[in-house]
Amino acid sequence: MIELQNLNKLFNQTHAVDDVSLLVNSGEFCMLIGSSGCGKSTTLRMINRLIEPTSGSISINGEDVKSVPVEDLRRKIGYAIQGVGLFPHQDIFENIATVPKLLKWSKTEIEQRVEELLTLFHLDYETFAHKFPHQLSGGQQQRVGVARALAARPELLLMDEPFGALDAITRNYLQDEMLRIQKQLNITIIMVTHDIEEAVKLGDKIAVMDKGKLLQVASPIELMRNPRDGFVRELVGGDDRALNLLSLVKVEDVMTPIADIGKKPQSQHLSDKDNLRDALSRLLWVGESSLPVINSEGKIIGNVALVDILAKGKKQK
Amino acid sequence: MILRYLKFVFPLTALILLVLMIVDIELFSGFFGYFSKNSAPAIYVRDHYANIVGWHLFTVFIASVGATIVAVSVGVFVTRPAGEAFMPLAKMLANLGQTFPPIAVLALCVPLVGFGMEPILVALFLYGLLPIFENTITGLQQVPKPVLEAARGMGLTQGQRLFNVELPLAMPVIVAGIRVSVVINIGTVAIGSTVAAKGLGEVIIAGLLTDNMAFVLQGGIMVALLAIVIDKAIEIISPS
Ligand SMILES: Nc1ncnc2c1ncn2[C@@H]1O[C@H](COP(=O)(O)OP(=O)(O)OP(=O)(O)O)[C@@H](O)[C@H]1O
Ligand SMILES: [Mg+2]
Repeated sequence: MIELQNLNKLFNQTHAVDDVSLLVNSGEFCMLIGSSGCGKSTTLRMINRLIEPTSGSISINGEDVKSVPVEDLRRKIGYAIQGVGLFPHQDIFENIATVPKLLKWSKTEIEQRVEELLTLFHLDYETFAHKFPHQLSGGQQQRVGVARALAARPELLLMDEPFGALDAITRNYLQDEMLRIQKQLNITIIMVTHDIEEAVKLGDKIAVMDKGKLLQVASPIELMRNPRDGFVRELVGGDDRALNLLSLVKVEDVMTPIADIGKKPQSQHLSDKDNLRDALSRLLWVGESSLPVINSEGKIIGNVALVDILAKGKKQK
Repeated sequence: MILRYLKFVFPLTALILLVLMIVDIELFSGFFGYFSKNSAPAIYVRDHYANIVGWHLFTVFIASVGATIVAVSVGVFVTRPAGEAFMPLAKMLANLGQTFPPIAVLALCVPLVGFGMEPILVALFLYGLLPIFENTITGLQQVPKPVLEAARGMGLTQGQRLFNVELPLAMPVIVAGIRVSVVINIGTVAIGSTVAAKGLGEVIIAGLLTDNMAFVLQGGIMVALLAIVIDKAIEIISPS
């Protein structure tokens, strides 16, 4: 559990972070979102004390971050950034081994851990361990960056727009990876982003910031349904809100199951893991009022009607 | 492929010539004979060339080690938050060291430290500071910001960041500065012989004093060969 209490940061005259209080539970994926310069990075960097707050306090599991030596604190918190910052003069193995080495792990422990992490990120050990960062693609570098941040098994991972510089397809892929890894390792993640779709896709909890202030903290669905004020409303898409809301729901959650499971699918169908936004788009495109749903084995398992989808996009009281 | 070999042919030729001249300068007496007039000696024999070249290099070595230690330390200091304020001052001093002619340094030093090797060591030291100092600063400043941020964020201490990250990444640029400094000083050290320092300068000066072109050429050629060979040697051992 990470708790920020009345956090303030002043740079000369500018109030970069203005009285921010935020609670992130263990195992939660918390997204920190807001426009450029609103103080997201400053907030994040105060957690591992790369920046010292002007006032306020931060505690992790009830322990004030100031109560341990700053280097010890940072070695216990994973940190991944947009620029990745892999050490260019060290190979992938050494890069990932950075913090375990600082913590004086044994050689075999380190080797095991590096192999484990490369596997976790679908990077082949033989191929990648002894390559240098410049020999990797941007997406691969970013994966190594996150692997390095996770090397010493931190319970908390801070990420500052880690996928900001990647193309849409790679970003999407890495977002899925992060979701999988967060579940698998059951760690707490605080991630900075300025992309609402990313926030909605990844976050259990979204914290919206503007001009240094925390405006609203809510689950993605709650944020879509009840954005508190002007900025949040604009952020969650104004008139696109209904569509954004639909993208949070999977087809399998609204479909009507069909009794004669296993029928051969027709040419037009939906898949159970599609979200409702895509399903709606498909229905409109093919001009049908309902379509069959297939599972990952290609078998028909249900039916989705346009009216079911429309009901989900409606404002709810 | 051929080009790659050519890059080595020139310095290798220089090295072979240099070694031959040091081991047995008499091999070239025919060549240098063309330049000595009025049956003056064609070959400098007052000391063995191994000795002369040894002193020449030794002087440059001592001065360059000193300049490297000081320039790198100061370069590191002024790129730390604590030393940032001293950056302009340090740059000014290093520039001064280079604009001040070595010969003037010699003139000023002799009354203080006497004749011999000391005054030229001071002159070379001052003259060699600037390239190393500037390259140290450039090298440290061009370490990518995200790399430093990541290093700090992962909990490397200041010292670990400097020795494990910043200096290794700046090293190629720093070594390039040392290379320039050393090569300049291999030429400059020759003037030390005007204040009785040992080295190839004494051959050149002996030639100038007796109007003996053969000596001047011998000393000059060997200085040039040394510069070429050492330049290449540092390039080969320097990290890429
Ligand atoms: N070291 C600093 N010195 C002075 N001002 C700073 C410093 N770091 C940040 N600021 C200012 O504080 C404010 C918040 O910066 P911060 O980096 O937290 O924004 P951000 O929300 O991360 O923006 P972005 O999305 O562009 O990264 C900005 O106005 C910025 O100019
Ligand atoms: Mg930022």
